[in-house]
Amino acid sequence: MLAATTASGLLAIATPVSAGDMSQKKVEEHLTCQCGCGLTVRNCNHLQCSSALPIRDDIKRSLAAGESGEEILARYADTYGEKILSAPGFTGFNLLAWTMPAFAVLLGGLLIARVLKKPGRHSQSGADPPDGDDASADGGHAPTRGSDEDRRRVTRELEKLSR
Amino acid sequence: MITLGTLALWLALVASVYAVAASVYGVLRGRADFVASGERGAWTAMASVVVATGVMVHALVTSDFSIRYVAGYSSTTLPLRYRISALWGGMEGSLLFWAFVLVLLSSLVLWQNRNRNRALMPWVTATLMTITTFFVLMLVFLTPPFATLPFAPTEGTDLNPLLQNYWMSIHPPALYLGYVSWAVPFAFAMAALASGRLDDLWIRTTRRWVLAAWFFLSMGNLLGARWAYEVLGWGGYWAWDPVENAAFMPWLTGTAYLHSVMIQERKDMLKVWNMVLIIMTFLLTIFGTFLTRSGVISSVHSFTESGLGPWFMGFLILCMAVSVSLLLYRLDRLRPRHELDSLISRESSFLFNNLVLVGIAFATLWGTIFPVLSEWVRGVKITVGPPFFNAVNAPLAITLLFLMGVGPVIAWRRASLANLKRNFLGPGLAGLGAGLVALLAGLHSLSAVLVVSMAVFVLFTMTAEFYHGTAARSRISGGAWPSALLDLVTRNQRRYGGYIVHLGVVLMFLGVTMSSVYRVEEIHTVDRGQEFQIGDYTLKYSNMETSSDDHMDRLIATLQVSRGGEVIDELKPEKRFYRKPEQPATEVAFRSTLKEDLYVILGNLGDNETATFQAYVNPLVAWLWTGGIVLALGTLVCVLPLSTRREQEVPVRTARGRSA
Repeated sequence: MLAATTASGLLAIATPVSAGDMSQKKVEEHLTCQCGCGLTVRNCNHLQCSSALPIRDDIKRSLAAGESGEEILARYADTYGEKILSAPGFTGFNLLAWTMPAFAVLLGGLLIARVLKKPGRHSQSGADPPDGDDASADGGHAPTRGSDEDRRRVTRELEKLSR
Repeated sequence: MITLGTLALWLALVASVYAVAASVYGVLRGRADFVASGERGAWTAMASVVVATGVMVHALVTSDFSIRYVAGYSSTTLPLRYRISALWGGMEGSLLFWAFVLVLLSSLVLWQNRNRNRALMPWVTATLMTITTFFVLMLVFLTPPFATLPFAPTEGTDLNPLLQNYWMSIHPPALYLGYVSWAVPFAFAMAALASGRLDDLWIRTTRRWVLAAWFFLSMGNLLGARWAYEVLGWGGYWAWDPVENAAFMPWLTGTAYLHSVMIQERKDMLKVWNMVLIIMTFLLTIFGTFLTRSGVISSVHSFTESGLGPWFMGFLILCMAVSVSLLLYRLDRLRPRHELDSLISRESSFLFNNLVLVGIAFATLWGTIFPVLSEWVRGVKITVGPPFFNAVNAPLAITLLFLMGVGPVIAWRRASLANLKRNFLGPGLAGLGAGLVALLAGLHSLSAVLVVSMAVFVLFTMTAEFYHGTAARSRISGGAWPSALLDLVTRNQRRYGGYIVHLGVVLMFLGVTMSSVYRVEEIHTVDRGQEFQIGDYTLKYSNMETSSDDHMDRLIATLQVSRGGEVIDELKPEKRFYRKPEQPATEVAFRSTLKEDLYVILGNLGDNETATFQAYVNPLVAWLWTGGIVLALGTLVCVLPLSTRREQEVPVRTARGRSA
């Protein structure tokens, strides 16, 4: 689980970097419409939008002419400023936007791992059954399957609850 | 009436301040008379806010345009239901509504606890009345809802057309109930810290309040998404707008609390963490209210900019300072009696669930405030929009989905290999198989394949839990399976209600993923009688009609929908032209099935009734709404008294492991 959580944190960093070969849809999603709708160029809800429509046409033409998605985005950032990009870039201060969430999750994961590895750690719940496999150790959580012993336990627990 | 409203607010302010002072003085000095007097002060404050709200609703219904707020957000032609919902359509009214919901909930708390929890109640009253004081203070001095105009206009400006929608009549009340309800567990947590009653009394007392708050916040978010889907007309339902984020963040931390509190109830652990989560959730609800009213962050949801920002920030800092100080003061007494035994255990899986939920909340908060940070640090305005939030949160969300399958069935304390094999081998193989089938079926998106795989894994673990539990009950009682299933659920409502909630969340995951990744979009300009194609559907533009009333003019297009040569439906997207304010708006039309939604927006009209249509096919989007209904049902199963038998209190183990 620690690995899965850690991996998800790492994936959070890796995902945006891999947006290499950008389609029309991707490029539209990475630009903010300038009409004031607050949505991306792809999602602008104004059918005759004076901002989204020309930008969509320009992206189509530019991609057909061989310009890459990154180049188109850079051109728009030069013209309108960084504000037109719908996500921060991966340089300088903006890198913090991408790395902080992953860092926070990793830190949290490490804290949990530290708590688990504390030397001399022991449970004081001495009356709990030594076999953690027994789901009934939760004080009401019945085993879910199968063996005769399990069934007997379920019966005992349910009878106890019914009283 | 206007004077009555203003006086009621002044009285509410004086009474709430008195309630705080008398309650705190009474409890510190051991003066029961002051405590009782403080509660009477609270009742007075609460009644006064109700009166003020009643006056405002009356003014809206009777179109009293001498009040600036009524003239600004209502009109004589506005249907009655929207005149009432205009109460939360503007800044002043929405703050009054916030205070109204808070006093309603506070009065319920005071009434429920009139004879119990007496050690906690003075502090609870003081906390709830402090929050009330803040909102009434805003209403009295900064945004007076009963401010009048020099002369009363004959007609009002009307409510924003985007808010004239059925969903907007119920989304804000649900969201406000969700926001404000978190004040109750927060108040009890503060009372526990202040009074030193740090056992699980405050947790048991607020158990249903927490579920209610979570339910309303869930519904508030979902209804808002539904409103966006039907009204905003961009084919989607969630845009990671700052205000959407503001409602999502307390839901995340609240969900984390709902899970971690089970560990405290069962194992007497995570006491500090639970306090932190409740404090965080409450502060995030205030932060959300601040975001819409401060003008700090631009959002389509924002009210007009006002001078409230610094006041809200001050209140937020005050709440944070007091709650964190109390927590630090009691830190030593909140040490856990037990510790985690193993990484592979239910306790750990709940902790990781918390880590992921709080991680998503942090990532969302960070992305929301990063534009402000960038402007402060670099002087450069930037945008943090959907690509950022999707990229950062999607992997965490998939991890969360996986943990949803693990948490409920893994053994407490330490899971053995046998336990893991017994509970996870079947569901794990089913999940892997589903992922493989998804790949072979042509799903090209990694996130879609992972979500399908994890969803099947969770569905199998949940189904196995229901199956084995029902089988056991059937064997014990000798009854039929349906009655055994009912018996099983009513005997442990929290557990099985929780499983139903998880099933709802799985449906929502599938709906969100598929409708986001596999959405198809087309824009066509066609003459009347012409057809265009989207996905499997052929849409024929067959008619355009007009209609008018006092409130608006409407253009209604008719599209005949065919599939495989057979006419299956008719869609009527509209364009509306509201008279006050003069503003166009779209009314989308869609055909919803479990498989997909066909969603059409009418654009501009050209010469000879040429029309532009924007059409989408959104796969599985109905699963999102269905999942929401399942989630609501699951929460109700947890809360409602379905069983005639009293549900047994969960025992808290003592240091020696015996049930207390």
